[in-house]
Amino acid sequence: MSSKINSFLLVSVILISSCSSNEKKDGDAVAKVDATLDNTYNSEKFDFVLPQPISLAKAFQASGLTYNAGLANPASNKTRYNTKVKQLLNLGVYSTDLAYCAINEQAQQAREYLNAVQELGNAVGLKPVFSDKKLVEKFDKSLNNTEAVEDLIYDIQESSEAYMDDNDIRYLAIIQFAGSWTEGMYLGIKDLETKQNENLSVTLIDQINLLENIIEGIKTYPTSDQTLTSVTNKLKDILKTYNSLESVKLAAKSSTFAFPKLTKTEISTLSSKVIDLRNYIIQ
Amino acid sequence: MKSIKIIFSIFTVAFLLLSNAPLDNGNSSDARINTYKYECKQLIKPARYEGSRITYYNESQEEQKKSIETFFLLDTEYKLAFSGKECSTKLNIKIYDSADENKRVLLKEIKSGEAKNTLVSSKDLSATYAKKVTKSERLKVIYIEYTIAAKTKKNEAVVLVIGYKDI
Repeated sequence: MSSKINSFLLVSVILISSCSSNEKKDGDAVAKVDATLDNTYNSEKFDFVLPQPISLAKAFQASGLTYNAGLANPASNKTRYNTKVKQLLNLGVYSTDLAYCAINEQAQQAREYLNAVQELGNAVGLKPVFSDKKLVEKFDKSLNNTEAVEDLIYDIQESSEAYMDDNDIRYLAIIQFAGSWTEGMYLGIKDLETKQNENLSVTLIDQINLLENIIEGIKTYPTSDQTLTSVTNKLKDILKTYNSLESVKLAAKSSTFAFPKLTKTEISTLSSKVIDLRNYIIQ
Repeated sequence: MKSIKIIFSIFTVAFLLLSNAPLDNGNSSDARINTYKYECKQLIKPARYEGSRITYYNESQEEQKKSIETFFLLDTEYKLAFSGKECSTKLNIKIYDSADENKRVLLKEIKSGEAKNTLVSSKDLSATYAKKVTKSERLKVIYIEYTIAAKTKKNEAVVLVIGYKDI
């Protein structure tokens, strides 16, 4: 009798062990959301780290960009974006608008952009990052505290980046960044139209230096998309136009690595290209 | 009594089997890399988190080179934390001002970055840059080059975390 019990228990233990092993594997499949590593993954020889949307906004702010009501893409436009690429691009646009409003102490507008960011974030598959209902509660509590709102934006950006990295969907981040970059450039250029500001012009050039990596990064998007092709062509056109400007060519030839100082006409040439791209993205 | 002892022993063995069930290599290295990334995030504090990059490389008999470009968009101090704790062979880290091999300037070299975490400040890089390059502009872009020694026996990774002092 005792040996029968023991045999039964031994079989049970083996079964429990094997079941648990399968459960672990299944569990891991679910947990892949948090941590995925393809053991044979080999990084590309060249890679890059792009700034966060709030850093783009802060760079412009530091160079004297002032808040202009009505320039950002209205949050109500969020319902227009029905394809994944449009949603990603405008998630980027709204991330910059959120940062732009937050650092300029426009709390109510920032809250609207947070909602837009949440909705588009959920739509593109970043639900675990953006579906947190406490996010809006936390935001509301911090509404009149710029630093706390900024903390929250940094937290969202960090979680979003970690989620995309862990799930091998970094290509989403680059499309989002293309939208952020375009909106930042648009806000900067529109501000520059109203005043002479050499620092702002320098910041615009700094941000154009990110373009090559953005264009390169967009290539990693796994499916062919007409909107993305058009956006890439427009980005390439901006870069080509920039590189063909006389001030830029002169600076490149300079033995003292002089920084290009763009003329008003050159800024205007670039502006029209950026505005065209931005309008295409938000339409 | 004997049966109870046997039952107890079997359950003890079962418990040990379950609690020590090893994860496969992929997941345990994932967990370690996440830990190193966390350590790097702690290292850069109180800097604001800007981004990170995990550079994976495979086992190889040859020396391997991987590079990362990043930007100092804001005129403030940036912190770069590297973790070579997932590297079992020699890891050399060089930081340049450009990707162009013909005109780039070496700003910093970490000769043995493996098996440890290293923190670099943009202040030091900028100081070297100012000394070596006659240029009025501040350092705005850096190019990091990892050289992984030959005869790497495992698939491994280098962790980079970047942050900046808030302005």
